Amino acid sequence: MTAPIPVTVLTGWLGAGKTTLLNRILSEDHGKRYAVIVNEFGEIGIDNDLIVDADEEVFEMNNGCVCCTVRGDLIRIIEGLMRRKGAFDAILVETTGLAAPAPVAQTFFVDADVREKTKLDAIVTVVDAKHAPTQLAESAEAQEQVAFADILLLNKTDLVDAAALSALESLLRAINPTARIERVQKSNVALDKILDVGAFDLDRIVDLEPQFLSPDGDQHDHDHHHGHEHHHDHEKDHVAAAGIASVSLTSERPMDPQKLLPWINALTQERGPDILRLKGILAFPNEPKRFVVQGVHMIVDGDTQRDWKEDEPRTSRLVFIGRNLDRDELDAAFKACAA
Amino acid sequence: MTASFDIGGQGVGVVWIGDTAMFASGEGKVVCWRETLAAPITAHAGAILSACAHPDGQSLLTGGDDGALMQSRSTGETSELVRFGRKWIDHLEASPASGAIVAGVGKSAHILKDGRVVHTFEHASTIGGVSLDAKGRKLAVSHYGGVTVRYALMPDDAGVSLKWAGSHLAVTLSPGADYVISAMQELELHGWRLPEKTDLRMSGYAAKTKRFSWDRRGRHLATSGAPCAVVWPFHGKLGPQGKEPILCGQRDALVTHVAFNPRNDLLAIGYGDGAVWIAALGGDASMTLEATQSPVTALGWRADGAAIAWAHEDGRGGVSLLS
Repeated sequence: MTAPIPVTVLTGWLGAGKTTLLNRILSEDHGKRYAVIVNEFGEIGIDNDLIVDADEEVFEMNNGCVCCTVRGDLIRIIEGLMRRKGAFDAILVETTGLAAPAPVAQTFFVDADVREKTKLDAIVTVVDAKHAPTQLAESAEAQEQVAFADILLLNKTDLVDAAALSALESLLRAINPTARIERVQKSNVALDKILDVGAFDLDRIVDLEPQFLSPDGDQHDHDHHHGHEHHHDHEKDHVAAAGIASVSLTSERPMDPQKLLPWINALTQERGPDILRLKGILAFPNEPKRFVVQGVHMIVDGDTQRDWKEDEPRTSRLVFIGRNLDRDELDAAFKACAA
Repeated sequence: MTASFDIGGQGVGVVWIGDTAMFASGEGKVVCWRETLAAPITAHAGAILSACAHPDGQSLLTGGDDGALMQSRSTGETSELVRFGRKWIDHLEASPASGAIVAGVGKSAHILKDGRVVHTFEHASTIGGVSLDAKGRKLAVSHYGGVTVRYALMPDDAGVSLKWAGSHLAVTLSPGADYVISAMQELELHGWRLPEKTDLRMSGYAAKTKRFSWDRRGRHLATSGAPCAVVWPFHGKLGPQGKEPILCGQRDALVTHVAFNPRNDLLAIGYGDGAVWIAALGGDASMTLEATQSPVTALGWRADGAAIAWAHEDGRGGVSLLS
């Protein structure tokens, strides 16, 4: 059995800098050959041997799961690409600014053939520092792209001042507290920060996000001024009004797996369309290892990971990103799952 | 006598032209075997995605990710019939009876006659598969939401629309064009009996069905996608409705390919672990032609049913002369 081919999904609003980034990935000397799947309405000018046009065909699955949609064209393209496996080492999927990211992500979990041959490495969303506040206020897709991201590439930071940047970062954090934010100009991120990061890999999911376990650490770093705080709160509310927000739950008491796992299952089955992503690290009684869980809509994956370290507080944390999430209700249900 | 050799890339298809087995590979090459292996023919710049015998019975047609539809002969010549730009040719079917060639390219089913495109049927979504009946007159095209059946050579035929929610992938039309069966993304088959459009559902698969094979009388349909070849009976008025399938060659490995012998009821079965078996209907009298290799991706009988060729995902190929 050969190792699955890593797939990086590149999303972002039109003009955010996806094509610049794509061209950098393809031209820089990193020793990897990429097959690139682009959308036919995308920005042009990509130079690569293996470039495929996608149709962005979203198919509903008839498995009783209302939010279970996949990209039929991706399934077909990946099958075709696998005819000459030796020709590339990794796959890049570019989506249009208008595309919802869920069907792309779900394709890599739902389709058995795709799952056997490839693995989703990370969803990278390029955010235009100057225009993102407007785009996020006006577009559900723009919010979803932020919500689904494992890495938020905050691009064109040279075009805005420090205050605006800090406000935008708070806005992004309100939607997606678990993604790693990279501030860049002209898409100049170090490629090893976005490629082969294993964001969907349960063993690596947490190492990618050091701030994940300290909700109050990183997020407020940039909010020094009271005036900004005010601005930030205002935008947070705005996003909440438009739809997507996140709820972070923590518990110092260990969780009972017999209660917690059925609850997560039932919740994602019932509220799958509203839950875009979930990630969690959980401490179970008498279990030396951390239990890591992650999900996209109704698809949930969980397993024990590395040992808890001696000096590490055994705090369980679960983050939901989605719509119509009631913090109090979720918190009460989560706390009720304590051992 | 069994021979095993390297075809230089993932096996996409194998077709017998007389005594020559022509293998199409994922590396864009066509390799011919006749007692010995000939030098590979470079037919495509990229991967071959689809392959079938030309209606003339003298050459192999291949469709590539370079958008080219190529015709290659066992003597080594290759020529381009048509090019569809940057589009992939995912599906190819041809009929010696009608002379029609069908190329499934994205949402379009292009019909070729005498080496050129005579007309094109457009669809609302990407084509999952194409199939011609024994006379090469009726064409089934699967797509999202169902299958459309038309007369292949009638340019304006709106056709019969068979609807069923979901994504329809590989499709097969029975030789007599009285049944259409499609494989769904949800690991089951959906079928229609024509002309009544009666729905049929066949489930119990462990993987997507990608290969269909009708026996020489059109009375049985063998399918891949389970740890045995699942053979549905189509004799009698109602076809497989209410009947149990015949299971052949049960093993631990998944069946990835099936092909009925053109002269008798023997079924060739290719497995995910690389084995190639010949089984009688009902499963006994099996013969193992190939043991462990990578998944079987191509199977083809010689017209006289006395020789079979196959190819694997890892680029190995084989031929066996059975008598």
